[in-house]
Amino acid sequence: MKIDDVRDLLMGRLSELKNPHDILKAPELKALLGQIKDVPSDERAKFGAAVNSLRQELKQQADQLTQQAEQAAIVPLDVTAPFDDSNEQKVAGRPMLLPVEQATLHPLTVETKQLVDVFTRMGFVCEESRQIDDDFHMFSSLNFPPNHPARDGYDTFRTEEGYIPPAHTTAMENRVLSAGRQQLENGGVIAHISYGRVFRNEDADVTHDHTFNQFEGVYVSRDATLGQMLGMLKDFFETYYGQSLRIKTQPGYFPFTEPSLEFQIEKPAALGGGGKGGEWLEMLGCGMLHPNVLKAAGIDPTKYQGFAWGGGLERLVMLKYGIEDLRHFESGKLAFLRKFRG
Amino acid sequence: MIISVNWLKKYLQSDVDIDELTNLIGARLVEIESVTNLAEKYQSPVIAKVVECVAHPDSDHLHVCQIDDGGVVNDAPRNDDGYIQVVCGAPNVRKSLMVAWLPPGSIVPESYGTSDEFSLSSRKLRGVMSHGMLASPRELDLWNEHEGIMEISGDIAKPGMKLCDYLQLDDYLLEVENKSLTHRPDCFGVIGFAREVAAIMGGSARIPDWINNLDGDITSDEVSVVPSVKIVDSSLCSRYECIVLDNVDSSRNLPDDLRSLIGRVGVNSISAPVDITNYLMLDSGQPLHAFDLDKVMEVSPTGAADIVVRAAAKGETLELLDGRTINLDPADIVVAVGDQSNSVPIALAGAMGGMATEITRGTKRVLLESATFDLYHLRGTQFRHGVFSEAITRFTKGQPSPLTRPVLLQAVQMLKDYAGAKVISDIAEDYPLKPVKTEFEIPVARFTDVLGCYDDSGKVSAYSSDMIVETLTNLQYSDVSVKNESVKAVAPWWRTDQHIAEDVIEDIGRVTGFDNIAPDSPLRRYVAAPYNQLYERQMWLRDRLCKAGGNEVMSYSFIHGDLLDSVHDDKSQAYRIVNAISPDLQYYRRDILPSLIERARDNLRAGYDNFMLFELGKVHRRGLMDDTEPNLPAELSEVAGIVVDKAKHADSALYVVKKIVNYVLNLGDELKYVRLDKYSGQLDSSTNVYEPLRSAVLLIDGRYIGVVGELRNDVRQRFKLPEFVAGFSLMLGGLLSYIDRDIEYTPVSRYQGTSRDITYQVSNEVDYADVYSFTRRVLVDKLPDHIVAEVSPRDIYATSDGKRNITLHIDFHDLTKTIDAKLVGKVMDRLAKQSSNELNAHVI
Repeated sequence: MKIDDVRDLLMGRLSELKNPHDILKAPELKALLGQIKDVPSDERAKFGAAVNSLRQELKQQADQLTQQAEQAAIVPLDVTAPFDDSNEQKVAGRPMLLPVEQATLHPLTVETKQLVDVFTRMGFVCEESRQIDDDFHMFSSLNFPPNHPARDGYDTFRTEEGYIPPAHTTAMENRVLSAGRQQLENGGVIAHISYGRVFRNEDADVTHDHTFNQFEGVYVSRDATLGQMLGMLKDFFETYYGQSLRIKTQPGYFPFTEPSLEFQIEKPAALGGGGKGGEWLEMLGCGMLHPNVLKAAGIDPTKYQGFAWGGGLERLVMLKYGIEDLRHFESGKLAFLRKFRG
Repeated sequence: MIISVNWLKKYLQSDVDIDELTNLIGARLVEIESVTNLAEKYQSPVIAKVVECVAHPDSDHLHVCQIDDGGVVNDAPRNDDGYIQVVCGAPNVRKSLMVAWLPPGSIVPESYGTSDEFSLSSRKLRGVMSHGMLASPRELDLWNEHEGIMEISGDIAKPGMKLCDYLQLDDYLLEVENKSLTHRPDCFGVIGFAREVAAIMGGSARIPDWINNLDGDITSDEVSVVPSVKIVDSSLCSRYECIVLDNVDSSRNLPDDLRSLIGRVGVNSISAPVDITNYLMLDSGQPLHAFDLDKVMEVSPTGAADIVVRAAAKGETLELLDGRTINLDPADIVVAVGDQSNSVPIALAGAMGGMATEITRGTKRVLLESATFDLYHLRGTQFRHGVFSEAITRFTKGQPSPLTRPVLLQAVQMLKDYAGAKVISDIAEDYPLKPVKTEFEIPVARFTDVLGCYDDSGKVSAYSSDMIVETLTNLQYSDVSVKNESVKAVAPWWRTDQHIAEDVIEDIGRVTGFDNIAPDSPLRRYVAAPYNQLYERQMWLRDRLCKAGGNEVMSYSFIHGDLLDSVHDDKSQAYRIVNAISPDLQYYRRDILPSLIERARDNLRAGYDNFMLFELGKVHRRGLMDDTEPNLPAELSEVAGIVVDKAKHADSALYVVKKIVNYVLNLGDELKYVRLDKYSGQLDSSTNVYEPLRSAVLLIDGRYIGVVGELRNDVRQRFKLPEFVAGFSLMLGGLLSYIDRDIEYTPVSRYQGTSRDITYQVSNEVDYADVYSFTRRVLVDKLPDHIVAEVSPRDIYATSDGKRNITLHIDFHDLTKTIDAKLVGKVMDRLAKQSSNELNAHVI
C-alpha cells in the first residue's frame, strides 16, 4: 500500500478508537515499517523518512485527541458554591479543615517574631528587607567605591537587567536613613530594624546556604556613641535570652562603619551554654555609621551620628534547637517542619 | 593569611605569652581563626651526621649509613661506636653530610595531623636493618623539595641538635581573617603587623632600619644598562621603579632558617632570588617582580629596557607565565616596553608576568620591579582574568607608594648577599603621584563623643589627651601634640587607611581596647514604636493558616526555568540571574505555588498523605515596577498554599481550599468567587497552573485578590500529585486593607426566633451565589430593620434531568418581640414568587 493511502485509512480509523494511541500499533503501519528494508538502497532513506513522518503525524493526532478527551472529561464546578452538588450516585460531604495538631509555624518565623517583639518593645520600627535591589543600595550608598576589594566579601548574584539580590540587609540602610531624616530634624531619633532574606553566590553545605536571613539595626541621634551601641546590644541579648550575659568584641572592617566591630556574647543557657562560661558566640557585625553613609542619605554627619549592626538568623535557631543542617530550613520537608510547634 | 609568631617576635621589644598575645590580637587587631603549635609537629627530628655510607649489598640505589646523633636519642640500637644504622635511598646521601633524622617512633612531619599519619619504626630494608629514616625537605614539611634528603648547611648545626631548635620551629602559626584587614595594606606584612601588636602591648615595635630608608639610593657596581620608566597615567600607577642586576645565581639558596620561615607561612622555597622577593613581600607587604632583562630588550621596539606603564589597548593579547594567552581589557594595567607610541606588554601589572620575559635557570641579568598600582583597576583585572596570588592580594589593598624604594634597596642587598648579584644600573623611576601627608586636628572631646567613656577597671572617664597622645605615639604617628583641647598628629606614611577623624578615633578605641568602653544606654523620648501593619497581618495569616492545619514552609526565592515551563508560566516574564549557582536557581519566582507543588511532591514521596503546605513571601514579576521606587522591580507579597490528600474523595478539592481561605480571611460574604474561565479581567501567566473550569478568581469589592482552585491535569500528573489537590495564591497588597475592616455588630435578640428551609429548583446554569445573593437581597429589602435573617447553605442536589435543587436555611429573629410567623410566611412566599421571575426557579 502507498503511504498516502495508509495515511487516509488510519486517520479515518483514529476517531473510532477508544485509545487513540492504539493507532500506532496498526498492522498497516507496521507493514510500511517492515517494507523499509526491502526498498532499493538509493530510495530507502527517503522512504524511511516518509514512513517516520507519517508515524509522527499519527502520534501527534493521537496526543491531541487524548488531550481533547481529557479536557472534555473535566467536570466544571460551581466555584461560588460552598460544597459539591450531590446526586443519585454521590452524597457530597462538607469540606473539613485539616487536623490542627499537625500544624506548625516555620522556626525562622518564630525566631523573627521574637526578635521583632523585643526590638519593638525597645522602640524600634521593624520592616522586612527587599529581595531585589540595585548597586546603589547594595554598595555605592554604603561607601563601597566601584571595584573596592571589600566587595569581595559579598559574592552577589545579578539579573540580566543588573539588579542585585541583596547580599546583606544593610542594603536597606540608605532608605531607612533617608526616610528618617525628617524625624531627626524634628528632634527625634532613627531606630529601625530590617530583617529578611539575603543571597550569596556560595555553595551550600551544612552551615552555608546561598539564601539565608539577616536582621539589621540602625540607630541615629545627636549623641549616639559606641558605648551606647554596646549597652543596647547587651540589653537586647539579655532580654532575648532572659539572663545576664558577658559581652566582648573584635575589631572588624566594613566600609559603612568606622569603627567596625564583631560583637560576641557568652553562650547563653538557651543556646546550650552550660553556664560554665568561656565559650563565646559571634552574634553580629556592628559599628559607628561612616560619615559618608549618613551623607549619602542627606544627613549631616557633623550634627548626627549613629550606629548599626547586623547578624544572621539561622545560626541562632540552629544553636537553640541543635539543628544539624542549615539546608533543612528551606527544604520544605514535613519531617523537619513538624518537629516544631504551631 | 598566616602569621608566624617567631617572625613577629623579631620585631617586638618584649616577650609575651602566646595566650595573652592571641587574646590581644583577637580583641584589638584582627580575628584569629586558628592557632597552630608548630613545635608539636617537630618534636622528633634530630640533626645527625653521616659517618659511614656504603652501597646496600642487595640494591642498586640504597645506601647503608651509620649516623652520629650525638647520642641524644634513647632506645635507638647502636653499634660499638655508638652510631645508628639507617638505610637511605636518596641520591645525595654521602659520608660527612649533615642530615635530618627521624628516629623510630616519630611521625613523618609531612603526614602530621592528617588522617593518614605515618609513624616510623625499625625494620629491614632488603635484609638490612634500618632505624627510622633520613628525610627530605618535603617529608619534613619545610618546602616542596624531594629530589634528595635535606642537606643541613648552617654553621650552628651539630649532631644531636633538634631540628626544631636549628630552624626555630618552636613557633605558633596564627591564621588571621584577611577580610577585616581589607583596609590595612600595612598589616599584610609582618613588619606592619608587628607595629600594631607592639602598640597594643603599650609600646613601639623594633622595626629594622631599612624599611624607613625612604629616600635611599644605591651605587651601582658598574653602569652597563640604562633602563627608563614612563608612567602614562598616574591614576593607574603612582610609582614605578626598577633596577638591573647581573650575575643573579638561581642555583643558590637562602639559609635554611629563612627558607623554613617562608615555607611555614605557605610560600614554597624555590631558589635564593625567588625566595628573596617572596620573603620581602611577606615581611613588608610590598610585592616585587623580576624580568629577564635580555628577553625584555629583545621584545622591546626600542631595543632597550624602556618601561612604559599604561592601560592595555583594545585587541592586545598577552601570554602569561601560567601559559594562558589572555585578551587584555582597556581597564587592565600593563607593564610594556618600548616608547609611548609603540610599546609591547610584558606583564599584567600587579597580577602576573608575561611568558616572553620569564626568569629561567639560565637567566643572568634581571630587571627588578618595585611599584604601586591602582588597587581598583587591579581588582577588576583579578576577577576578569582569575588571578589570585599572594602578590595581588596585597596590591589590591593599596600598598603605600613610599614603600617601593626601601623594599627595592633591601632586595638588592639580599640578592648581593645571597645570590651573588651585582648592580649594573642606576634606579630608574617615575613617581608622578606622591602621597600627601595626612594631618589631623581632632578635639579631645570628640573621642568620647564617638566612643563613649573609657572604663579603667571600674573607673569610668572620658578619653584623656594623655592616653590619646601615648597611643598615637606608639602607633608611630608623628608631630603628636595637644593644643587648645585638640590633638594634632600626622599619620605614618604606611597608613593609607587614614583619611578622616573617625579613622583616628578607631585607632584609639581599638588599640586601647573596645572592650574597655563602658556600655551605656541611649536617652530617647518615651514614645511607642508603631507596629508594622504588613508584618502584623502576615503573622495573623500565619496563625490562621496554622489553625486550619497547615505547615508553614520557606522555599527559595530562585527556581528552575523548567519549573516555570511545567506550570505553563512565562519565564520570559521572570527576572533571570546571570551568574546562578545552578539552573535550579536561575529565575526569581513569579508565584509561590509552583515551589509548594514541588515540596508537596517531595513530601508525598516521603510518605505523608494528607497535608497543607503554605508560605508567605515575596514574588517578582518582570516589568512590574515599585510604586515608591520606580527604578526598582515591585515586590509583591503573597500567601500561597497547597492541600493534598492521597485518599480518594467523592468531593472536589476546590471546596476544601475555599473553606480554608474563607476561614483564614474571615470576611464572610465580602469574598466573591468567579470561575477562572468566566473572569473578564487580565490574568497573570502564573495563574495558568490552575484548571480554569475548577478554579476561581477571588474578588473583594470587585478587586482582584488571587486565585483558588484545582491544578491542571497535566501539572498534577507531571508532579505525581494525587487527584485530590488544590491550591491558592493570594496577593496581600489587595487583601490587607480588608482584613482590618470593622465588623458590623447586630444586637442579640432576647426573643424566640424561627427558621425555614427553602429549596429552589433552578437550571444547572445557575450558580449557587446567584441564589444565595438573591435570597439575601430579598430578605433585606422585604424585612423591617428589627428583623434579622441569617442565610446558610443546607444542600445542593443535581437532579438526573439536569436541574439543581439548592436548599438554603434561614434563621429569623425579631429584636423587639417574638417573631411573627405570618410575616415570615409572607417573606417566604415572596422569595418563591420573585425567584421564579428572576432566576427562573421553582420552589419545591
